[in-house]
Amino acid sequence: MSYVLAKSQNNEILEAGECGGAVTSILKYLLDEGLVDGVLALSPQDDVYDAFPVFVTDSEDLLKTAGSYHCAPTMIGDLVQKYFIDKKVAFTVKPCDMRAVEELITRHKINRDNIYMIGLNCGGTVSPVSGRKMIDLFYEANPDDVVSEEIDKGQFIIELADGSEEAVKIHDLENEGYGRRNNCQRCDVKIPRKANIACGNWGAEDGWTFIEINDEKGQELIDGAKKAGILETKSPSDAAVEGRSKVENIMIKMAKKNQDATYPTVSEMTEWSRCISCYACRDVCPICWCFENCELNKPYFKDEANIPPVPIAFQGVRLSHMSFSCVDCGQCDDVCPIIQSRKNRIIEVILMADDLKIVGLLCNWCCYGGADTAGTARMQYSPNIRIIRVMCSGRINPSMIFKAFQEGADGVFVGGCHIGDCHYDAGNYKWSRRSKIVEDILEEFGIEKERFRHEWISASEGEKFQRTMEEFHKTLTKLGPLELE
Amino acid sequence: MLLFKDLVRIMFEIKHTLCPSCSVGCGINVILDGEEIVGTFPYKRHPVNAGKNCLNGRNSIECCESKFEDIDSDKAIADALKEIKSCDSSEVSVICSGYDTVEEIEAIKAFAESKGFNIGFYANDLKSFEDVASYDEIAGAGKVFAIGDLLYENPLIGRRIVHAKQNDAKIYALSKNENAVTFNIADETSTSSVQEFLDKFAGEIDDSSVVVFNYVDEADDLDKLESLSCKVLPVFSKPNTKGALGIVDPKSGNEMIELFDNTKLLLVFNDDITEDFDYDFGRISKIISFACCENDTTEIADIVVPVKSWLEQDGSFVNAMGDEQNFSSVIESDNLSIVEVIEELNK
Repeated sequence: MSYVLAKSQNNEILEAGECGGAVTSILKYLLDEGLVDGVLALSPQDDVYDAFPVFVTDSEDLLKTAGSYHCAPTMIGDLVQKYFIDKKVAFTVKPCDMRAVEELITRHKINRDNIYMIGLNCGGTVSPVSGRKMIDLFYEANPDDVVSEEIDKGQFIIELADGSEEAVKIHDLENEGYGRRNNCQRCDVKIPRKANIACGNWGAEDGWTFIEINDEKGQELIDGAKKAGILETKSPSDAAVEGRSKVENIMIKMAKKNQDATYPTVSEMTEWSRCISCYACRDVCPICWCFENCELNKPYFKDEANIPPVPIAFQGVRLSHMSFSCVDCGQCDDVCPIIQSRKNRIIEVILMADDLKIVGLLCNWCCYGGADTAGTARMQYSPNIRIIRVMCSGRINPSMIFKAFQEGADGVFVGGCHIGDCHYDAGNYKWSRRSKIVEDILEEFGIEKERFRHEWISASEGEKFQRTMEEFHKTLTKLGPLELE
Repeated sequence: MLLFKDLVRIMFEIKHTLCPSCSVGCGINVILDGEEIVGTFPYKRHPVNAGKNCLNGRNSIECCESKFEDIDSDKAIADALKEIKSCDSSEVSVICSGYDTVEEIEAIKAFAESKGFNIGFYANDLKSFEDVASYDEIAGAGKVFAIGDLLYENPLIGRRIVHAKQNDAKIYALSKNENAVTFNIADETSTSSVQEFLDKFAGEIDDSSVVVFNYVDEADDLDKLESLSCKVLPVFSKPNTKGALGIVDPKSGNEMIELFDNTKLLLVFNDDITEDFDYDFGRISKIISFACCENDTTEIADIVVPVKSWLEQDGSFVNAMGDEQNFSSVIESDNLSIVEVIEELNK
């Protein structure tokens, strides 16, 4: 990692761009040298509150994308994945964009070799409609007269057509329910360090961009742009580096405060009773990439007759898919029309109509054998369990657990091979990780985590299987039948 | 110098348009790959919906998948003209709809009047009210009377009702569906008739109230709603019903049936009449459908004249609260617009 201050050598870019126009110049270099097929960058549309990504293939058009747009909270990761998978493309990324792209690279949905990521330091974004309302309420200005906006030194600053500026502290705006989007308020990644370079004005002298070079590709970019005569660089002073770090730390501290706020548990939330199953949250999610193959579209989860859906079977399933990799981009919040912030075989199981119902998902190679051992040895245990044999505990998806609860199970048991004994090498490690997620999510939905249990039981451990079932049944008897709304 | 980028076909583009799935008037962005619409993108700057679209809205672009590829447009227009000329004008009826733009409805009306044709327009037995509540007024109301499952059927109106609830408004909800989503935020719920609902809560309606409705049971309900001491907002199922009501007098369901009974040649402009009427359209000698995509009416039509959809032309819709919203073409089309087809029929 190294730092440079940079500014454009191109007068037009210097005039149109912000803090020296280094970002636009680097993008121009990439296009002019034919290193990319095009550049994906935000371009303003009807006014300063309205911007969306445009694909630029002629560097002359890059001037239209110069500047920063805090009132355009877009997401670029899913666009790259869906429409540019086979193209060489450069794009600007906020930290949430960058994290989404990283997740998609991990899932082989984006090829890292094909992309250049120009990171933009980000103090947060503002939703355009509420941003206009905020200016109307808290500034002595007509929102239509605003020609640019900026977040700097803890303030949201607007510049008006007559050249004057007005600023209000972000903290004050957010106390009144305006200011940055909720996810931006809690975001603690302010500098996108996984991008090739991260650019911004924090710590920079006037008319210069402070660039953090994060990898070899980033260094090549800066060197190339300099060699091409479009970028001028110099080393930042120690004070500049320190100043930048100070700004970053203040913003992270603010974010941590928001993260530490007390949120209601899911079972206390009424919002999901308004869900209309429109799938907007899923469809906009940059990390959801299954598309038509999404589990929520499968007949065992899709329930058009039941709206709002049972939360554990919709939001619960989404949580189980997303909680590993959510990038906190807030897009799901932005597009939800109604809610404001905040193994298919299971359904074939005919559960006992009386007494407690336990669904058992047992690994074929060990726990299922353990149950068999208990049975053949005539060991007595609660008859409430209905066993589903799976080939490996690693095959079990958290959504299967949720589906069992949705379908009326009072408890769900998962049995797998002892760690190190997996028939497929590491399936039980995978299940072990997932089980933590299941426990967390169940509690959020008001389902006691004791209703879910998993154990490692080998084929010879019939006695352990019997004991576990007896204990689990006893626990469930204490808890009583599960009543889901 | 020919660069590698010149060899690659990249036509990614995002454009603004309006959602045509109801009369709320939400904005929506479409994603284009060349001349093909491949997806939607949130239009967060739009004042009505701020980037939020329901499933119907996001699916509205699917109409592009059922366009008429094999119809010779010139021949279809010539055949239509021949049929029109062969029929007595009193036996020709023209149907316009809330799916037509303001400009199209004006052209259809002028066309029908100049030829002496009957004109039919059905607004689902709703009508236009003089002074309707704005969406902000719903959110700021002290009491909201919701007739219809507005949270589910018109979510961006439903959202305003949720905001009203968050502002401590009392919510009264009526729906024929006892599992209506709107019931989940309501203080009082009912599955009765509209009349019974309004009678039951008549004493509670005051000038802080707003009544929002997307259906009535009978015409008398409209009189009752008009006589209330508060603002009302009818929400229509088609994007420009409000605009059409300002141009053409609507007919009731029974009047429309009567019109069909007396029609030998029916010209349907961008509507699916089979969806609104349980009528044996086989009794009408000829049906000509001017449509942008396949529907059940084009299935039973004798002649189908392909026309431009809202995505392929400039135009305007008037939303439920009376705002005229302009939109621009986002893709090209070889088809003529309804206005251009009418010009051809007038030649």
